[in-house]
Amino acid sequence: MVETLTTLRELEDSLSEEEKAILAVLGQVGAATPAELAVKTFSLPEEINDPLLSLKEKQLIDVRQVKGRLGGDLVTLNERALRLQRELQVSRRVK
Amino acid sequence: MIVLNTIATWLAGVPWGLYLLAGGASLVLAVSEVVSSFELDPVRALRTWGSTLLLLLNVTMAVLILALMRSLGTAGDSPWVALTVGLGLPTVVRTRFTVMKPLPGTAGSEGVEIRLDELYDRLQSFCRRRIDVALAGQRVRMVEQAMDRLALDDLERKARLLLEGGLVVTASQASGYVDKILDQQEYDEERKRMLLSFAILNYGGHGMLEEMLKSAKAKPPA
Repeated sequence: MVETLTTLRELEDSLSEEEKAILAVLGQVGAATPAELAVKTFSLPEEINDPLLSLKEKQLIDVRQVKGRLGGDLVTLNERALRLQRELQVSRRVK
Repeated sequence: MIVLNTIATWLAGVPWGLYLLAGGASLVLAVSEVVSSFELDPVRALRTWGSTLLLLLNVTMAVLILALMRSLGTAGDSPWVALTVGLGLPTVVRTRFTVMKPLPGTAGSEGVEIRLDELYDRLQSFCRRRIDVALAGQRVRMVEQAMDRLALDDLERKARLLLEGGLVVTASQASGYVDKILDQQEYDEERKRMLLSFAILNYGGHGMLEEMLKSAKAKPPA
């Protein structure tokens, strides 16, 4: 089901500043570990745990496992988040 | 023998030059897309499997669309058409090709259309995600090397230069970030090295961390 612009705006309004910062970073780098996301937002890894959990609950990010010593989670934007960024960018440009 | 002759005759009649032109132009377009989308790390991005897939996808789509246009009679054997298909692929792929028109007077029917845009968009997103994940994996591996071979003092010095020097990063939170990491009593040295390595990699780039790793390798062991 395709979400309307109003729904996407409501979703954007429900995001905290930390969540928006994480989405913006993921928009730039595409995929990152939580530690890298923390560095990119000048936070500590434990400070972004809650925003990441919230973004996952809002179905805006996907978390996959990576191998290696730093192995663990790799966070990516999912289709919904990409659409949110695309649609809101377009609607702002039109305004 | 007859079958082989038929195939040979058919192959001889195919204007390979046109397909080569369309595919080549589309390839150039795809390379420029990857370079501009991953401008921080274009060479590494181009070396990933996702990128190879994306380039192949663009070439295949250009060749497929040109073949479709020629078979439907909407394109002649002009090299300009082939060039337009290759360079204008993102637009051309959104064209709806009607292969069967409805009979006159048929209500509510739009004929049989071939739509390639959704398939193209999905495959393109898949390739981009593969590139993103591959680049993130490479960054993780580089940080692992830095954690193994670089001393905390060296990492701290470089991170301070980047974040507190104000040359590369001007954000207000940047100035106290190195202290914020180092002041964490519960963090062991490895965790601090990891975060500082990520900071150097993200704000100084691959080249800077690579340079540090090279000079660490060149130093004689203490």
